[in-house]
Amino acid sequence: MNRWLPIVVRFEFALTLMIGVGTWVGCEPGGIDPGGPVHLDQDGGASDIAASVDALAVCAKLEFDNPIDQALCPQLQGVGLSPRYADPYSVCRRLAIDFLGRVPSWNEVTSQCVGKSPAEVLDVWTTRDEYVELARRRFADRFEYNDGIVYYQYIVALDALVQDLYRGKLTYDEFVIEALVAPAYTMRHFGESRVSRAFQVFLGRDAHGVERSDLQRLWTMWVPMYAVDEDFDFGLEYYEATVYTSFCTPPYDELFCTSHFYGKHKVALEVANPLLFDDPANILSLDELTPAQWEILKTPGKVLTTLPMFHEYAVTEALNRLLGWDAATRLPEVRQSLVEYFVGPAQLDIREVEKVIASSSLYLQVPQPADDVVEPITGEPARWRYSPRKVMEVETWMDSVQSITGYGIGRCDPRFAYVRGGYINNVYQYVDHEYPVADPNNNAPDMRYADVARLLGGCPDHYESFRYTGTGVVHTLDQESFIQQMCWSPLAGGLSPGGAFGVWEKPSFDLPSLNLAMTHWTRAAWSREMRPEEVGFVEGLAKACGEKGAECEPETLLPHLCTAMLKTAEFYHY
Amino acid sequence: MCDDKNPKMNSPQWSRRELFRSAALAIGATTLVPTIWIPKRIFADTLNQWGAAKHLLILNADGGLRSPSLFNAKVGLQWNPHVDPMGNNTQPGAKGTKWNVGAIFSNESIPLPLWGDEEMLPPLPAVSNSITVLGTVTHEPGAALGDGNHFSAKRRIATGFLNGEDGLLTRIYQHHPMYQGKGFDTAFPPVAIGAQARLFASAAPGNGVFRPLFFNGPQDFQNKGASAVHIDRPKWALELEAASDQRFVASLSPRDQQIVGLYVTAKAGIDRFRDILKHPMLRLGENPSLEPQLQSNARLMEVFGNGIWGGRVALAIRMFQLGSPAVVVGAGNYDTHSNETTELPPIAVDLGRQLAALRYVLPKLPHPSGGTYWDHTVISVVSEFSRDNVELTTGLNSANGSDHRGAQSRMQALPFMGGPISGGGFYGETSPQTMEPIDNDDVFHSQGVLAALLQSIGVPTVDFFPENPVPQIFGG
Repeated sequence: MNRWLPIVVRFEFALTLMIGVGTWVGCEPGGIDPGGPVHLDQDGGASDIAASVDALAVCAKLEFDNPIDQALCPQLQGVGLSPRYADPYSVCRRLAIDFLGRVPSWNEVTSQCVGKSPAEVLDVWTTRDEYVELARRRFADRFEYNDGIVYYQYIVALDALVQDLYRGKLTYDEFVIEALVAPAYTMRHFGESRVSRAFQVFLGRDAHGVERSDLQRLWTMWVPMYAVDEDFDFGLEYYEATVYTSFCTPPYDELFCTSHFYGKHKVALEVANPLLFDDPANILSLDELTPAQWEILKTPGKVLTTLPMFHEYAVTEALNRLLGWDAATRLPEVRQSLVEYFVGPAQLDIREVEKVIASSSLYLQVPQPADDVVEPITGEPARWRYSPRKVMEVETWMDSVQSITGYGIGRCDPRFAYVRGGYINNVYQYVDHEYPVADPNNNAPDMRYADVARLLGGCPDHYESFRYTGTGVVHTLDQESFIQQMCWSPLAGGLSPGGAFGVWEKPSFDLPSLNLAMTHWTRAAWSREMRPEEVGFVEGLAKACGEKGAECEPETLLPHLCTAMLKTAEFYHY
Repeated sequence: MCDDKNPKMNSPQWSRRELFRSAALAIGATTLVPTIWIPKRIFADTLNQWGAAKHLLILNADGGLRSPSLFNAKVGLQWNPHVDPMGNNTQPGAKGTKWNVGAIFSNESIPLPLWGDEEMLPPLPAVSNSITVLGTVTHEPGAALGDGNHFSAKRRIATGFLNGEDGLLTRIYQHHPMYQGKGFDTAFPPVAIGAQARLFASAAPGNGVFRPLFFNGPQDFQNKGASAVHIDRPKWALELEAASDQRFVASLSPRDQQIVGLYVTAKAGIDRFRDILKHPMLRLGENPSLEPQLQSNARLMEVFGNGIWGGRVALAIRMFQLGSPAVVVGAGNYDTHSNETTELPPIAVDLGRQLAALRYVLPKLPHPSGGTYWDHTVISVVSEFSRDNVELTTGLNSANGSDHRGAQSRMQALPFMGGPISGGGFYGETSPQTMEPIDNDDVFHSQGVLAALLQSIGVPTVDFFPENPVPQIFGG
């Protein structure tokens, strides 16, 4: 794996990671012209042509392991600036949320992250199931899984492809080629929608009218046929994906099954009986397709992956998602460097792209803006010079709350909105799923987590609800209700001190106990140590609660502390 | 290098990239111009009944309601096979009813002992003259076939557009006068009740702040113990949280302060809604003592019943009483592809009961602004499409159900009622044999119907709904 940190920066960053206790140690900007901040033209490059030449000369002498840092050099080291790295604890929290889907435990922060380079951390974390789970969730949204519409086995198969992609068994191109003829895709979308959705998911834009009407011909033969899953007593009805070769009987194949917009491509198979349209021999099930026939059917993906914007959008999506703003548009040189890396050294492994992004100075920056580079029109601090604050996704937030409190109500299965079932030997049984099991006798799913998540905009069924990031009174009210539930659960303490918090046996409002509690919660919720002002707060609270008549109830210290910490903006944002 | 403190915006020396970008913008703008500038109408279209109501209740019969069998029933047996024991597919309605009441509805009164010894809930046919029906509501007037895709048709009825993202309730929350300015922080939001109403509360990216309240149903207010939002928190905990937020926000960029600030502000606004949602009248499964003008929970549940609709519609009434201007209640499943003769009647009867119950209850609830809730409420039933693909002799498909793939499923027969509406009317007659409109001028765009519903509670629709509002929903 390439460790793309520049030599100079790597030393500074490693020093930062190794020190990291309480105080922030970043890289001081150096070499700024005392005449004032650097002004950028709208491309984000230095506006002075002579300076650009100098900048390139400076960069030519530096070594970079990270293509993003190399692309950014003319605007940074090239003009005498330095990256401004966030403290390692913030970085670890950021990495965990983005790559594990939850805040890290303090043990993970101290033993698996601090003291290591981001690349080293991600080499381990991207092998975890939690990383793959995040990808499964993303693609569930993109492909709009819904087991009320599509046969659940088809969704299982497409989800397995996603897992193969994020376990390194498929390149990105191979994945897309397979996915666009997966039954979960062809039976979810029809006609021009197949083109439209493919473009939105893999090219970042909708197909225009001509593209839709032309390219839909590459899927003409895919037809849903009513079928019954005989594993169930009365059958489980679904629409089977079949290849109806008659639709492409010559000479009609030239009209209905040939696309021309991006070169001539025909998707037609030999018709067993061209004289009888509905001859069953002309209708092929998935099991009947030969490898050679599959190669023809996979043409839509093959066309898509050759389009110039295909790889560009793949890196754009990852870049913008991880950075939290439209960096790809504002920093086209960075985007280009990522594309070249993706198709070159990364060998179309999308995981490597994500690792490179998360190891770059762009991702690792402090969230505070700098005044050494400004936007030309607004005069505001340059957008790329600091890391933005992001908001946790719903499931990430819920899973973080559950992991901290040690109490949970389960999870969602990104594949199934409903969980299908049927009678087997006269007993109603649900198919295998990844929800918690409410009733082991029939495998019924426990939907409590899903119900809460859907209130907040997560676990969408992609039919009546879609993912959204909400804010506002209503949304926050629902969040508070969930936090209260987790913090007041029997395991979390309630009226029993300790429990899953397990830090001490007899919480009280004396200073040592409060220090212990606040230290634990600061680490758990915010992934850092207490700051002086927080130490002062604890001292003040201990003193106030020590006074006669003070209303400080030890029995409820932990749940109230839990609620307060998990409701903070610092917990919800990262 | 850093020799000029002034922005370079006035520099004539554009890079090649800058030139290309400008050209691309110009081309793009030219391409977009026809789409943006061609107006659908030349004049603003506002109903005379603008703001005639203060509350809007929409019942979404999810799955594709076979609405002619209920509200446009005098058609061929092919299109309405739901007959009474005598073989009639209609039944008499109340005097003054011009639309044809389906035989599928119950014609029996229901005793209401909690309301009084002699009190009875009249069946829907007995109050049919309070209801006006449009028999030809369609998503695409002039189209030969209907949109038979659940996915897209649901979006059409919930948002007004094929690919709409902002649901009807989100539009209300964004545009209703009561939510402008400080009203946004204090006025009770619109509400969606039931999973089948969720799309009406969807929001486009960037409009998340206008997302309405959503509840699954009365069960959301049961057993509100430790998991509830009404745990009082000690002062020290509130101070800890507030101080942390203050420090955190102060450390951010101005841009991020705005974003994070929304969360902090929203937390501050919770207190008002927390108290509201603790009101005992929302615990419909219990019968706490309430002020007489609210009517007891037990009485409400007796009227609305315990079917798929009852608890949710009762909850909707409570939301009105808390100040919400609009509620969508969803229930189903009306997607009767098979066994329709056994599956549809009970849920059609239940739907009919809700309309009859609303006609009974709302006049008994005094409104804070005077009169009763009936005077100030508009009620409608919607669905994503109607049904077809049925055999001539049976009116059913081969699975004893009906589908939604042809021409006939595009015409919905939808009812409207409420104080501002002159009931009994019927607009949009269809051929009994073909279900085609008798008069092509009497075909109503579903978006126009939605526009009329929104305008009835004073929401301006001219900026987002190009279709003219349909005045016929008000009858007369």
